[in-house]
Amino acid sequence: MEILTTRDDHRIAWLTALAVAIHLVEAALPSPLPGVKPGLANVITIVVLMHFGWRIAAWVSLLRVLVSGLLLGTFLSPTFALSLGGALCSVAILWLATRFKVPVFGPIGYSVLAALAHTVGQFWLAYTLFIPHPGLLHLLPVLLTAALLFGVVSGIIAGMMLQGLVEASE
Amino acid sequence: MRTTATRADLLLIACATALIGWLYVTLWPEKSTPLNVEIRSGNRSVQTLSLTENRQLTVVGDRGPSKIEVRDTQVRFLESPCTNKICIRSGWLQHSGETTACLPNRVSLRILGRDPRYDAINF
Repeated sequence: MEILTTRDDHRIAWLTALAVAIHLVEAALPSPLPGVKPGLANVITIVVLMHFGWRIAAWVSLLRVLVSGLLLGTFLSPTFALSLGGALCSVAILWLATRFKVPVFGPIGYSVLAALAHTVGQFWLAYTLFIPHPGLLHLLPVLLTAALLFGVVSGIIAGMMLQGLVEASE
Repeated sequence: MRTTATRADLLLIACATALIGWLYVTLWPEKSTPLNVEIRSGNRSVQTLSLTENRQLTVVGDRGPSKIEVRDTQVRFLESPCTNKICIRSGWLQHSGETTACLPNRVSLRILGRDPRYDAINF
């Protein structure tokens, strides 16, 4: 039996592989605070979003979480649940942000929205499912600050990549 | 396709910064409800004191009087008629759930928390 694959399928697979690679490298880096990491795989999501649209970006983002979970051995663990929750939230907010008739946001805006949504979703999950302790709320502004900073950085990188893609296709 | 920051991007970053600033202001200063310390002697509760009031008091246990001091939202054993003085050496208590006891004299201190369901939580 032959499974017919479309051009989109190939694109999704390639881009997901790239995002997974970034995700894995990042997972190996030590983090000063639990829950704080650069989230550079977000760069791929944003580039894909602006280049190929929301549908493919959603595929890439969610597949990245699934594959990384399998490779890191966290599949179906609490870590995976948090990762998936964050990814679902950022994909949802990106859907909303791309509903405008004329694109309003640039890569930095999308990236910041995705990073903040990711952190909020993850935090909400952690708070309701795992650690329903009011002390955890003290961490929220710190995590959001990190998300904002890394969101801007990822957005700038995504912008540079998109610029490169535009120049390469000219 | 814009690859640099748009006006909406900058507005978004400004809003996010303001929101995060507001979160710091509202979530950081802990509304510290004053804690209480429960003093027990034998198997009955002798007294429950607020940690905000500095004072010294003496509680009579099985062996004699134990002196307890409350100062600067902390509490400790000052003197106790026991041999090991473990109660005195355990020093100041200030967090909810913290406990110390003079077992020979059967006097104990415990700081009462807001949520007394758990002795300790470990993640």
